[in-house]
Amino acid sequence: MDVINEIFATNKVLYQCACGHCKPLTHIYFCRYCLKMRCKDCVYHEVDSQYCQHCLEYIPTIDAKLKKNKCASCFQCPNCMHTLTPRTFLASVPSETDPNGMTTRKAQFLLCSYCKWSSKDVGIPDQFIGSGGWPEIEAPNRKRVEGLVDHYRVIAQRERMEKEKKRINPRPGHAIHLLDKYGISASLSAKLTESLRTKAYSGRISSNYLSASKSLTDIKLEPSLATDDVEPLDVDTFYNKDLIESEISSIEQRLMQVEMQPNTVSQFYPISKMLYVKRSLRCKECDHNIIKPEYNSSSIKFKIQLSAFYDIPEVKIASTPKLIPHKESMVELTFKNPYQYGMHVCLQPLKDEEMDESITGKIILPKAEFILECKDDTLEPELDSTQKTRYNDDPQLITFRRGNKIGLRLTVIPEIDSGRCRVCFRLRHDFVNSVVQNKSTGGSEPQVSWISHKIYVDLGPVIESKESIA
Amino acid sequence: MELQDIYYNSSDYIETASGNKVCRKSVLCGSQNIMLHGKTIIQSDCIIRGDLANVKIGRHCVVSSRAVIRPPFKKFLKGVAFLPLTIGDNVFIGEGSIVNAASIGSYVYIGKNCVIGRHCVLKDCCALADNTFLPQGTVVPAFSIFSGNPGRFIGELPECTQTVMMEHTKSYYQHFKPKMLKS
Amino acid sequence: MSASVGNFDQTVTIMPNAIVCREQTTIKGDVVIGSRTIIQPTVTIIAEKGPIIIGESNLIEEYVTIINKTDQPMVIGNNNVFEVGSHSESLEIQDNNVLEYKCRIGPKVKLTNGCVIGTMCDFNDDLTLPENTVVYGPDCKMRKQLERPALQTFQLDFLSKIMPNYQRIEKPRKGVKNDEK
Repeated sequence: MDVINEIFATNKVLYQCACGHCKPLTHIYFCRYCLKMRCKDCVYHEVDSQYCQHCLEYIPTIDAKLKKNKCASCFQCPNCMHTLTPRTFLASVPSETDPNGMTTRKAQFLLCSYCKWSSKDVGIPDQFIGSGGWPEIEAPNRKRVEGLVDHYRVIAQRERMEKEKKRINPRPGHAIHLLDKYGISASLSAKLTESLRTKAYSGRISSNYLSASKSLTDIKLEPSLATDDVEPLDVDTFYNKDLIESEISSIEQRLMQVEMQPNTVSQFYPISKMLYVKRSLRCKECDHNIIKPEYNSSSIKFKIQLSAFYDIPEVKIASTPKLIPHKESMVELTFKNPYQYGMHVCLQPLKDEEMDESITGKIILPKAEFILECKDDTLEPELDSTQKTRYNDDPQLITFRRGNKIGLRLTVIPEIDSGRCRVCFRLRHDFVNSVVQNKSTGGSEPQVSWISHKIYVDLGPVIESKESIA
Repeated sequence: MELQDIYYNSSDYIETASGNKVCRKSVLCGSQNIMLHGKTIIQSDCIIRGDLANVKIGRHCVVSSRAVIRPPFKKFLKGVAFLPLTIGDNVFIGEGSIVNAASIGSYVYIGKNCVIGRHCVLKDCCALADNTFLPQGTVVPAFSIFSGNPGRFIGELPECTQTVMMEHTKSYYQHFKPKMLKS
Repeated sequence: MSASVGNFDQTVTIMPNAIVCREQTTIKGDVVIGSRTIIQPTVTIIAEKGPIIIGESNLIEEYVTIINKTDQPMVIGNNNVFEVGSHSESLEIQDNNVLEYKCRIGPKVKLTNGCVIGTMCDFNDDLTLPENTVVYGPDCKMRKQLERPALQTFQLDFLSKIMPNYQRIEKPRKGVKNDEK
């Protein structure tokens, strides 16, 4: 996991989201409409589509609901939870045409390739190909649970109606009462006001009618009854029998089959695989989609993707510096522009009120502004030698410039004697908005705005001086 | 953290016209059936079994040392065969991992000491943590991280994985440099 | 790439119809390899003191290590599969067993017939596994399998057809015993 985190979610450089959480850049989104950072903790999550992780089939939401969010064709092993694979073989069956003869037919059984559990272990008959799926076993309390679900669905519906009614009632007849209030109705034609009135009235009737249409009496549900009769405990099953460990299911196995909860291995039955969802994310402030995936479950493309990784300059530590407490040391950071337009970037220190306890070092920032070139995939960065002369870079500050990436040498003073040195600064840059056009300039010119982000950089542990240890 | 330079002995590696860097100490069986699409690094003691079936590896892949890539064996109702193995672009395969999969998509990260059983399918943009074992026939969907023994879904990758993996493997290639001989 | 030729002792016996790839394969000490057994490249088989006798129709894949560190003879029966990276020091492996990827079994373990040692299992208990036992998972759980693992005859036939086209094969020969010299 460590290396995966290092590549996909390094915690060495964290960006502060608009909601205050600090996240790696790969986990942050940038809403181009509000020009603010967003993260998974401060956006709306919506289920976009369901799919099975094994067969990768897209299942429409209505079907998924009917099948209890389970895949119809994929099963997992009740023993080790690995996906079962159907094994096909030729079985000999009595022939239909010749009563004495035998023919071969393709048949299947389910086998776990991990623990070698098979559907034959518990005596499930083999399925002939083309004879439909595997039979589902009925959970013992299915009827009762379904009854309860129906019952509460009606209650929920009724409550929703009541809420809606309350919201509508204070302003009866929609906007019609406003017309009366300001005496506008007199200036409108009589025919128009009349039609408005009838519309408003029929709207009210229909909402009342709906709430009355379904009532709790439609569903008959027997309430649960407490009983004094307790089944006698069969002590023998617990004490006077030899315990064979391999025949008893583990707690984990029982919980995975929550409907059946088998006590013994012989009661195992293949478990249907649960469906997974693809999510779309929506900004809470402006309601625009931030992430909208394609329906195809194996597609890696998005209809909308506003990851900050494509808009905001990426900061990385180029070399791990030696950090000596209270002494100046040089740190090299790289800045990379992932965006299609060039950027003017400047680094700003934090204001006093922005400082927090986690900051354990001081960073001395350059006052000058520098330019990050735009991302250009067609260019081989090594080959562009003119770049060096194009910009008047201060060699003391800028260590290299390669395409859309530059290296910056900065001075850091750790302010602690031991522990990790964390510094923080603000990155301010201009952002040419190619999505949202500026209305004041007639929509042709892209809007340019300056935005700034708070960035925490964890430079690693400081070298503890020998005196402080002694 | 930026990737640091990794140096290799220039006498140990062969660089092809399309930029593949293949270690001489690797075992490439049936090399006429192995296709590397360019800028792919094959490190020492790797085994690629092109003699069993065709093996195609995309651009900008890294096959770390002691990894074994071998096409899976398949028994049909009539006859047997080794199925060809395709690996997409920008794929990283960690040290000592065994790849017996049916196909591996693009932008995939495979950690150290993983075992990918026969006929597994790894879709685009997915990752395996170190020491993961995928039993026969496992499917790893896009944007998922699998880990453990047996490998199970443990998390999601960020939406920008494609670019992250692309940059990671490209920068690995750039930092994989021949050692300067002192002469 | 550079075909480093295998490292074989004079004491190694290879029966006719066995296929032993030379590439980076090391076979040392008193080892007998039965007919129709296939040994893929980069395999290490070392008989330090006691001999190693490998039966017929076994499949030994890449990076497999079989070591006999004891004075006792190590006997491997017929139709066993040693998958990539497995490591065995077991002195008794009978027939139809499968050692899956990267598993390790120690010298105390004995396998009867039709056992499967799961991927990455590190197993060194002092016991003889009953027939059709499956050892699986990181904590070496055990269960009994209904059927024996399928025979790999088809794979062996297929391999023995294609391997000579690509690999350098060590010829069958009779090993010279040290005391006969």
